[in-house]
Amino acid sequence: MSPKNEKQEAALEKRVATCTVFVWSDVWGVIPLALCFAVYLLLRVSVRSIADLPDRFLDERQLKLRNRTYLQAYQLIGGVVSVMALALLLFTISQDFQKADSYRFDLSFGQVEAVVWFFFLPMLLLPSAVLTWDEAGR
Amino acid sequence: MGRKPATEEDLILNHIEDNRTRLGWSRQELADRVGVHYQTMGYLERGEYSPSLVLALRLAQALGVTIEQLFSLKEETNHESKE
Repeated sequence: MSPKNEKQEAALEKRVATCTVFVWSDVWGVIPLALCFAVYLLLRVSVRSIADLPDRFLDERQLKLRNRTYLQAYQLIGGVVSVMALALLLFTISQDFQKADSYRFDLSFGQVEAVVWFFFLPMLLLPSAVLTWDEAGR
Repeated sequence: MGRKPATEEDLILNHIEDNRTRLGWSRQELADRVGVHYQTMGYLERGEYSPSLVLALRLAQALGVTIEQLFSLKEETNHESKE
């Protein structure tokens, strides 16, 4: 075997070893992810994919149901994200006052505010913006 | 999504099931004829979903009756509207 081939083989072995270590070291992280996907697939089956199918595969009741579900899901995720962003804001303010050592964020108050608005404004504006876009096309 | 009928559905009386059984059809058969899922047919027959005008007309046509023979407002609603 030529020195070039030996070098290539060694590099390949090293890559395989790295991949093996990576997979095994992260196996506990993969399990919850796999479980999440399993739950997602089971949920899809249980609702006969109404939430994901294109319009042409659904009848009028299913479309109505799907649209109402998306509105509720949007409102829910909007609420959760807004609460999380506001919690971050309040946490930053409280840590600034306490000057605690455990304060690990390297974000300034202005940056945190930007993060809050980055989540909050789209949640507020998106439905009306999409509706305007739809209406403009008619 | 709950299955509890909305107020609008409470006001409408339908005779889809009577007409379907008269013809000896299954829900699936009627659903295929009007182009909806068989579950939707169940919701319609139980009065848990009010169809669009197009679907109501398709149902009437498939069952060979007029739309008035298939759907009507419940008695108390008629009285209320007259008052």
